[in-house]
Amino acid sequence: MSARELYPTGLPVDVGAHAHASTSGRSAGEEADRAQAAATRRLREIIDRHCDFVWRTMRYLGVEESGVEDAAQQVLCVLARRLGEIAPGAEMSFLFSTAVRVASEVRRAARRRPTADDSEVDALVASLPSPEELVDQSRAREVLRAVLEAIPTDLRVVFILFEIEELTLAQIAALVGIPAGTAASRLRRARESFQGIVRRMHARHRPVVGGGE
Amino acid sequence: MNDPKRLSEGSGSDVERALLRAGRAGAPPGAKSRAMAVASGAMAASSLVAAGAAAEGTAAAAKVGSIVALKWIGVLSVASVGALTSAAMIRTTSEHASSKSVAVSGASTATAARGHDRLPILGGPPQSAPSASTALISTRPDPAPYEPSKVSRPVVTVVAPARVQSAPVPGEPGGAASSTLSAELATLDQARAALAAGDAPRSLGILDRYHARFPSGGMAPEAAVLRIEVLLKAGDRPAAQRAADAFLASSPTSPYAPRIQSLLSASNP
Repeated sequence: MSARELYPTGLPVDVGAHAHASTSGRSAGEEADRAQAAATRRLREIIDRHCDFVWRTMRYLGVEESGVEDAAQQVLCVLARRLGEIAPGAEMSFLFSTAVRVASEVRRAARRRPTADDSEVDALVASLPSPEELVDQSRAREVLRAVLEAIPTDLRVVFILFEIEELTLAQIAALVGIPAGTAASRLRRARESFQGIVRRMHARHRPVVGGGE
Repeated sequence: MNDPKRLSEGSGSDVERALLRAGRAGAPPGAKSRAMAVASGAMAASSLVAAGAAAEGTAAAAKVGSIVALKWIGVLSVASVGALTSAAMIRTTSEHASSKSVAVSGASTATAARGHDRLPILGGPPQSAPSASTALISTRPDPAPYEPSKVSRPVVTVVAPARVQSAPVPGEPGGAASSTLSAELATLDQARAALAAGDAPRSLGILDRYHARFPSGGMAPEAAVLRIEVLLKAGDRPAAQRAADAFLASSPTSPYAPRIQSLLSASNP
């Protein structure tokens, strides 16, 4: 998915941005039905466009794979309940901030710390497969997840938005609510962590060429 | 700003590129339609709760609204009459009118959880889950918002439920968080219903309880926006303005910021 697809330039305005607000307080009638249909259309468009984004965000913000669907659905349910309050164009921002909160709740419930310490990173590196094994996509995804979990959350967020979601730094700064310079420096530090771990993984399997990039 | 080249676009090593490419995989097949089914259930539930409260003007209305909403959520899920009429089920669903109800039913039958297997019950030929969830919306019948007696009527339709996975594993992450979020959402829905019924003091009382019970709640922004809305409705514009200023100062980039601005400007004397 390209950044253009992901980053909303705004959904059609005629999809009933305030359908929820206008239906509340009325008994169900024709108008309410029309508003409901418009809201449903808008909901479908948003889910079509952003479901994968929400899914990946949960996955890389430390929600166990077995809990990702549930967590992603929670995010989308919050979206559905609050649809009328979300301005067209602000959908992704809403989904992202909700996803961050839900992921943090889920992590807290699982009593998981957001990031690993050094010894855990050592253990992680020791458990990583050889690069050749990464042709298996699901295996590669597990490895990516593990590596990302070793990166502090605030850095990781910028990293996944840039490297996986392919947003620009300016878009990321707006989405996360940080200055552009901060986004750039977080990306740099996240890359250092990511590349450091991957290098060590490489080095473990190929000691002779280890460390070179 | 000149963005650096992405690792996947050549600035990373082979391994880095392989990892990041694999990481682009999105939701697995079927997840999107399940999400749509659950989210539209949540949307129907929340609008029915609000509409019901406005019509009845009572707190009980919110509950009934949720229960009727359950019927529509039930249309999305594999729900037996027994499960629907069980108090526990209704309570769970009214607290979190979405993934939970579906999770319960999802656990009840793994085959049906595939969704496609039993679709024809809705009438018409077998179809894929997304179009089935469209069918749900379009078959939304008589507009009478609630008739509690209908709740006990058998609900026999089946569309893809939320979860394909097996029953929850003890200690599985998500459980406790879900229940906290569900409780938060239920509290906020009550506050919203009270507001829709024109009972601003009651709504504020519920919001106060929300803050006492969930001091660092995951739905705090929603609660803050609702409080502003309630204060405006109650005619206490200064308090609403203070609450809005505090919220915007702490979360200037919140997706709710435009909403707050529009609330304030709409109520400008």
